[in-house]
Amino acid sequence: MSEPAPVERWSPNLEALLRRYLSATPVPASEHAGLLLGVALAFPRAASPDPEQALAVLIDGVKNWLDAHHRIPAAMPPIHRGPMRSPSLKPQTWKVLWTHRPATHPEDMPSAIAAATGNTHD
Amino acid sequence: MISGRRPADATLGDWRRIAKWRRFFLALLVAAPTFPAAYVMARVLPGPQEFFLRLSLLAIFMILFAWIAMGFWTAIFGFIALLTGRDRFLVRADPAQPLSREARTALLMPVCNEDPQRVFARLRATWLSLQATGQGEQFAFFVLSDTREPDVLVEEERAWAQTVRELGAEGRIHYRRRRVNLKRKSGNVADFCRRWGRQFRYMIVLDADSLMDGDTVIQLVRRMEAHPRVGILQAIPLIVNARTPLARMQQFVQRLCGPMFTAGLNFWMMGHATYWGHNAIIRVAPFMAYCGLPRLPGPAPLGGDILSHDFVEAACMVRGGWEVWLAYDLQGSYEETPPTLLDELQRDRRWCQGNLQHLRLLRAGGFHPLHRAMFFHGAMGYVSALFWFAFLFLGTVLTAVAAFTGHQYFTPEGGLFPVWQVARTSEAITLMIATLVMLFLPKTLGAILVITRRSTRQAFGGLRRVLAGLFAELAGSVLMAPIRMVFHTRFVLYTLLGQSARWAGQNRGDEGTSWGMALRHHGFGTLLGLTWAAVAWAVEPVFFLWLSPVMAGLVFSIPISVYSSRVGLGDRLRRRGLFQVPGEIEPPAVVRASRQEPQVESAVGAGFLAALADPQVHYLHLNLLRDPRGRRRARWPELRDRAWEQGPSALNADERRLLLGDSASLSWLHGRIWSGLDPERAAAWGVAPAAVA
Repeated sequence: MSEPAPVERWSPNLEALLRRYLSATPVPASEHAGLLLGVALAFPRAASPDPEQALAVLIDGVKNWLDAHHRIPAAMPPIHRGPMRSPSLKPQTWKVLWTHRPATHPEDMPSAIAAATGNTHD
Repeated sequence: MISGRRPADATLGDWRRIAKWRRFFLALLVAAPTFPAAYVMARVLPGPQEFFLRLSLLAIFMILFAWIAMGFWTAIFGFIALLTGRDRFLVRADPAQPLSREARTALLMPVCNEDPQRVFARLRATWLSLQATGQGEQFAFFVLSDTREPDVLVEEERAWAQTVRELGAEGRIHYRRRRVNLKRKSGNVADFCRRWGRQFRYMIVLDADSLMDGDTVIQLVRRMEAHPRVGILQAIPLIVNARTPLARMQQFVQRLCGPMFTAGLNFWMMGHATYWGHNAIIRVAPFMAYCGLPRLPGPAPLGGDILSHDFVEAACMVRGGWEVWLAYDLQGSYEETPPTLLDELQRDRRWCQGNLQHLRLLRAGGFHPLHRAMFFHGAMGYVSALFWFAFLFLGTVLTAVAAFTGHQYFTPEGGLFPVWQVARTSEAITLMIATLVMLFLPKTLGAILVITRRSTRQAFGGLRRVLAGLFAELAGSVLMAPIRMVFHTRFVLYTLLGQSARWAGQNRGDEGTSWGMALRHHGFGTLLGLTWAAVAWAVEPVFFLWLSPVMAGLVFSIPISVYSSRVGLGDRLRRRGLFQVPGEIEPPAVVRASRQEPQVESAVGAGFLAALADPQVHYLHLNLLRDPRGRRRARWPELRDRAWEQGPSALNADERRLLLGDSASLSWLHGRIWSGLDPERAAAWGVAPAAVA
């Protein structure tokens, strides 16, 4: 296992660049050093890695940090794909809307609908 | 499962039989004053010789009078219901009844280009109120976005993530933006139902300006659980947070008369009521089974997407055998109102088109007759303006013809006997008084309900303020009625001539109407008013006096529109207690909470810029992106390069939105901006050069 390249050996420009990026993130200052070390570990042989590549590594590191600290919530729950998945909504066609005959009583409703709604009181 | 003969609802009894009698009674009450009024009108019209003109006028008059009478009797029924405090036919539930764990409920908030901070402030307030009930676990919130403005959509994502973080609500407050805005709001809700509907027994549909108290949400679910035949239960949204004079007027009159009118509607609609599109709870399964709306055949405006989908969904629900009720007794349901007259009219333009589309459904199979009547009623809400306009215009023509031709004492049929001129002033005045009573008594009854109860009277600021508010509102509505009449007439004509309304987010902010904007929109009305007034004066000064309230509104429409939109003026009225409403001095907790917009976390740039320059916003946006689709993907490389070479201002809104769909371009630009390769270009994205040691 190779020795990690110390951050101190980077050019001042590179460190300033990475620190500037970190300061724009919600990562607390106390954790900056850890993330920079992560970048350094990714380039064990280079004294001062290419800034674009180093930044790309840092961006990944920040993304991981954001995920780990639940800064980016999951947007939507998984789509329900069980047997209850919508029988309809599949909109009615115009023809169906136009010609539909009324269900004279709620008893005429499909049993699946009644069960789905918990409409079992009666 | 339901089986056997349909049993009566335990608390509502056989309401269908009662409903038939009530509606028959209402029809009689509407017809009773309409025919005598038409008879008197026929006698007071000038110029007996213009038969067809008189006949047209009379027909229009009868429609309009019946229209007013219906509102009048609805108010009377509501007045009685609220005065006696007894209404057997109300969907109620035991307030102590615990909620079943299976009654999972989704609160949906469809949004489109709204102010994200305000949307999430309201959502946050509703959430906190719901959690305070201790029964919030079975509720989930879904913000369903149709936003197209690139800056707004990025800010929406940001506000959502911040809200979730701050409330610790991951997995409970969801956000989704549709790629394609198919069928607008109804399509957005349908999209939710298709994907997640089966996970919930109920959904409460909110508007972007809706706000609900947690207890009210619980009550709605509880009532649905207690009444398994109810498909939709509509809570009555009260207007809050009004600041401009117009909004305060609307807020005042709605608080004064809204409960009475809805109680009246409940009296004769009962389980065949309508749904107003928000602040209502819906049983998801029957909604999915019966309420998926098609496009109407033919092109917009009368074909295409059904704009006023809510009425049709209620009708479909009833057609499917379910009931739709109004829960007019529930407090804690709120909404906001358009702040200016122009905003209100912009909304009316869409509603007008949607309501006129309903006329195409009048003869569709299976709808309950009451819903057919409601389709007609909804369309009449706007067509009545055209009738009012036609009525006034024909009245002017008739008066002019009578004035210029003079009275004919000898007609061919009359032989040697002259036809004497008969003054019908007293009959005309009687008719006018009857019409005014029909128009204004409901508001007076609303005021009586408030005044006769000490608690409500005090909440409205006392007797003097209620009366001052009532008279000021009456004066304001009289002045604004002709302005609305002219606009609604134009909307009806535009729609019938095939011009479609634009779909855009509503202005819910407090920006007033400028003089230039007012001139542009009300110039025509002002000119029309001036010309009409001049003609009326030239024809017959007495006729001019009759028309003067209408003319005044039109002639002064520009200053009315401007001053009624001024927040400063509204605030002065509030300080003086004019249009004070309950909860204004000490707002309910949920309303107070909704006014506290969250502190926005600092970021590099805002909106589109933030999605590219700010690390957290950038990553959030990438996380929300779905697989790329569409032919416009081919433009991404060119847009990306242009954005970098020429800066963000080189892209228009459409191009920015397109670029926001490509994670690779966004990542590339994000890297470039922070790479320090070109500090000047990075500065254009809001990123200052690095401080070199």
